[in-house]
Amino acid sequence: MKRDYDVVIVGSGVGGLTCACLLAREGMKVLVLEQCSRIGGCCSNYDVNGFKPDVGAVFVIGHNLYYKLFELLDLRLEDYLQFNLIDPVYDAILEDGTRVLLPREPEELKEIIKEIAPSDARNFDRYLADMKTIYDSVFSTLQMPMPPLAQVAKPQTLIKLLAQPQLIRALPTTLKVGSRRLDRLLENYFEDERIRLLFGWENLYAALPSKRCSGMLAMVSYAGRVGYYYPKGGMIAIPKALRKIAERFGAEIRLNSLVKKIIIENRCARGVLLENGEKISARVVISNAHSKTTYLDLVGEQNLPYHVSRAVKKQPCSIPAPTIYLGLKKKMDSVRGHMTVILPERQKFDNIWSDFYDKGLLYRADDGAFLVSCASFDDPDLAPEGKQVLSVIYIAPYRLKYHQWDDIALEWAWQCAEALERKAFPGLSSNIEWIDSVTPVELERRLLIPEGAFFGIEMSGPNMGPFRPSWRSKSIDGLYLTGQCTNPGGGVPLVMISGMAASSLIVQDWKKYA
Amino acid sequence: MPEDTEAIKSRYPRKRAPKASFITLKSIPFLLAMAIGFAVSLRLSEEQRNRFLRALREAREMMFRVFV
Ligand SMILES: Cc1cc2nc3c(=O)[nH]c(=O)nc-3n(C[C@H](O)[C@H](O)[C@H](O)COP(=O)(O)OP(=O)(O)OC[C@H]3O[C@@H](n4cnc5c(N)ncnc54)[C@H](O)[C@@H]3O)c2cc1C
Repeated sequence: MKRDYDVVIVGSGVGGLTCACLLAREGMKVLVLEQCSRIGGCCSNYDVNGFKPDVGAVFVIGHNLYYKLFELLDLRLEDYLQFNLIDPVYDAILEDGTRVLLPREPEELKEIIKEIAPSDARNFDRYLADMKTIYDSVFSTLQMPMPPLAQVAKPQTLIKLLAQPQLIRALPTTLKVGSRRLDRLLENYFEDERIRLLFGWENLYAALPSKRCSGMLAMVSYAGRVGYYYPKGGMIAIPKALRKIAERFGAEIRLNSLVKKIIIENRCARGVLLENGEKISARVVISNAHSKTTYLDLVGEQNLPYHVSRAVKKQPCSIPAPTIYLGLKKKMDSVRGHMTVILPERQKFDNIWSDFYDKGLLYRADDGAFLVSCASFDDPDLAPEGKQVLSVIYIAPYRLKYHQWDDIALEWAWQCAEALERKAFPGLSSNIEWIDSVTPVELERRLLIPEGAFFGIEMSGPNMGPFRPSWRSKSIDGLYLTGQCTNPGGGVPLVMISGMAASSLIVQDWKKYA
Repeated sequence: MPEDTEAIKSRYPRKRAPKASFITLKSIPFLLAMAIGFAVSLRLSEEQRNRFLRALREAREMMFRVFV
């Protein structure tokens, strides 16, 4: 039967665009439908009077995986993206007033640890050795050349990856680290509470309290030693590069096109229905939307077996990571790096989950943990000349017990700005030219992410990897999923893996649809 | 001529007597696990019990998740 397209992709997040590139390169006729006026979803930016802060993702971690995607596309990453090293990695500010620039170089970092807690400098070597063993073993797998796309999601490829000798040799260390909780693991390495916090606050990135995180999360901190990067032009440079490649291979990308329904006939996806009533038929539909949106709204419960709709409904969303955007009238010397992290003491930090998040309460802005990213620090083009732009990321509940987010959004943003002024950036409030407070509810509205969830779905063990929705739907034929809600998880590099795997499965299954 | 009793018996085989108890051999490990679980849970602190129950709930949900 004649179809309008081979593949229709709902959403132009990193996952959707990864699939668009790979499948268009295979010669398929691909259409990407994006409801926003910009591409990239959470990996994008705003542009308000020349202030261009990142929407969500603020730095590149695991850059080696980006190279793997380009290897699969048979292209050179350097021809499309310019990654600049972030060094110092963080400007860290603790509650007791300790403020340190954390360099990338381990030896320099050790000197800083020596100044804060001399006894922990020796422990740092032990920590570093273990982290290096695990990191090198994981990344040794990336030395393996990429197989052809059709082979990527085959069990043999996974077995080959897992059978790497370095990975096997590192197994005891991996088990030692992975089987412990993050907080316990750091207690094992460091004695000083401040050092533990400096190496252990990254549970913020998993959007989980440290006692629910595996020690493997310590690798995020170690990855900073290997290198975090920031692309020239901001994080939107990544989806822009993917868009350019996809279009070069003939894919079409339509903005401002909201998909209302995935057309299902006899448990098979046949195309999509847009908000304006237009029907587009396709052999295969890929959804880059949230898995709850995909299954419960776009597919519809009536088309799903009971066990699927039950599992989708019950899977918990991750904690939201709302953001305050600040356009500054002039550059501030107190902004000393691309990223500043402001942390309360450990107990208060952990209590954000139990005392506030679970109860739907907002904490005092002074007790909050903030990750402040300055996009224009490395790339002055991202703010008007002489000015600066900041994104302030924090965590907060989606539902507030006593307030509506819309009523308090701005007032709360100003409270946070004042807290930041007291703790990190003197004179901040009077230097603000533009302020935008994207609360969880607002993020949900703008990007259609249920509950404005940081990583779509909780990044806890029972919700990671195969316990996230599969790339190939098990209940609807011809429906594939990609993005942060799918296996393996959230974060740009993991989303790229999901895009590669979904595309690989489509190529494997193609005979069935052609 | 009346049929002999053996022939009648073979045509209507006697039903097996109902079991004295519905607890079969197979269900014993399950019941044992429940009993041990219950006994252990009594010895747990409130927080540990909550964690234990939460882990059980998670395990149940994980079984559903792999089919999505
Ligand atoms: C505040 C924040 C900070 C982060 N920081 C980092 C970081 O530093 N590094 C990192 O690697 N990751 C980070 N992440 C995570 C990372 O940004 C995401 O995991 C990743 O970008 C998600 O990509 P995705 O492909 O799943 O799609 P998304 O980004 O969720 O995009 C989905 C797209 O689909 C569109 N869409 C949805 N429904 C429809 C529909 N019905 N019709 C049409 N279009 C639709 C949406 O508009 C959106 O554009 C961060 C996330 C947040 C929120």
